[in-house]
Amino acid sequence: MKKNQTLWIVLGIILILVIGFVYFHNSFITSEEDIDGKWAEIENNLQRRADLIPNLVATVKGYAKHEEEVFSEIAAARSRLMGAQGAHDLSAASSELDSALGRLLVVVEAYPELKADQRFAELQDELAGTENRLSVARLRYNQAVQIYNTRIRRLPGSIVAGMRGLEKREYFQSAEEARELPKVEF
Amino acid sequence: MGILRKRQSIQSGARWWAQFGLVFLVCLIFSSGGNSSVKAAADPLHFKQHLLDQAGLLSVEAAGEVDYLLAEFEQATGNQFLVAILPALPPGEALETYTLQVAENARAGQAGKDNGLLLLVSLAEQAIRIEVGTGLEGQINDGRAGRVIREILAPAFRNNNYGAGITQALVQLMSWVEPSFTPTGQDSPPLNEDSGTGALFYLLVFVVLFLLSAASSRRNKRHLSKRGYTQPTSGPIIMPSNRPPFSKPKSSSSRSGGFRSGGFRGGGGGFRGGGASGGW
Repeated sequence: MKKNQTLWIVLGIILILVIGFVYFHNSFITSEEDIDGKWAEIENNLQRRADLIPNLVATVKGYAKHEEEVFSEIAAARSRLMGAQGAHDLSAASSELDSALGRLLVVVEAYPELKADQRFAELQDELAGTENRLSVARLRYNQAVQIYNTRIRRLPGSIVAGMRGLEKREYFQSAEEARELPKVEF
Repeated sequence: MGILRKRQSIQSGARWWAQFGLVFLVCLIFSSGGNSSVKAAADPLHFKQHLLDQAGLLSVEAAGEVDYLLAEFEQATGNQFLVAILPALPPGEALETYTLQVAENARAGQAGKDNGLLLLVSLAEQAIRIEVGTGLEGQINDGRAGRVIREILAPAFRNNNYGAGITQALVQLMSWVEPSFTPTGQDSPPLNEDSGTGALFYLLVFVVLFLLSAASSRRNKRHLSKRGYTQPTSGPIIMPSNRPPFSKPKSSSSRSGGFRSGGFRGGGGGFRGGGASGGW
């Protein structure tokens, strides 16, 4: 009778371990899918921005033909962005494009007819909207990563994560954030 | 005898430990399974109606018209459009992130369709943002949203035509989403046929409003100060957010057969930052 009981206890413990493993395994998979979905949203918006830029450049060229330097800078940054792989590369290329675009908008200031152009105003809205979507997507992605990274490092989930060889995911950082960080406001 | 009893006590001890361990493990698993909350949202605005005019910018008539239009549009098409007018943005909040937060907290739009929209106006910053639900980004792209701000809202606001500008902007946005939708208020504007009874009605509404706001102003003040707003006006404060369910008497009875704008309930629509920002 006593033997029987120990058997049950052992079986129970094994069952709990299995349930625990399955539970954490599944929650990690859900979390990973969440991250991947949110990463896809970031890539969508980067792509959308990359698609908008030729239109914007074409419109600006109609008014400001002599700003070749900025145009080629943007083209280079854009092609680098298209070829970038992984979170780190992408965020670097994306911030490069950001600064090139910033210079373009400075150039635009010198052309009042361009600023009054209906099409240009709408393109700027589209670009601003895409930037905003991108920052939202980035925020959501980073939140998903934070949840995931916390989950795989907390006991007892970390045991399962260790068995499966899961590693921390990278955050997607933007140039703006890096620039804004040291700013101190009162 | 003694050995047997000892064995029993050992057994029960083991059983106790097994049970304890079991409960402990289960607790552990479920406690760590839940999300560690990442970030608490800022204090949300509460939309009792489709229009939330915290700044008291619109006249009672204009507010009624805007709210009626929004409620009617939701009734007819299912799209949830909201308008928020604030005296100022909460300190430290950017227009884009705050508007998104408000829209998400209000849960504007139907779940799955994501057909919500929020027009937010902040007076201190003279800032306007149109936040477009994910499902409406096709019909109202960023360029169109920007155009509404630049060509309708900004010029009207510069001329202090707040109510008319907002109504016109909404009608334009609605026509992009649902070309077949014709607001009942449009062909019989309530202001033109304002008869004696109409004026009496508004007076009555005003009195009720005043009493209501007086009754609940204490609660509201505390609520507001917690959020960090400062009330720009002095004297008796009328909180338009406390406006009771309001419907235009004329058009509701004669045209749409007893339709009342019965407040607002968010449907759980999603946003992802689409839309446009501007100012005046």
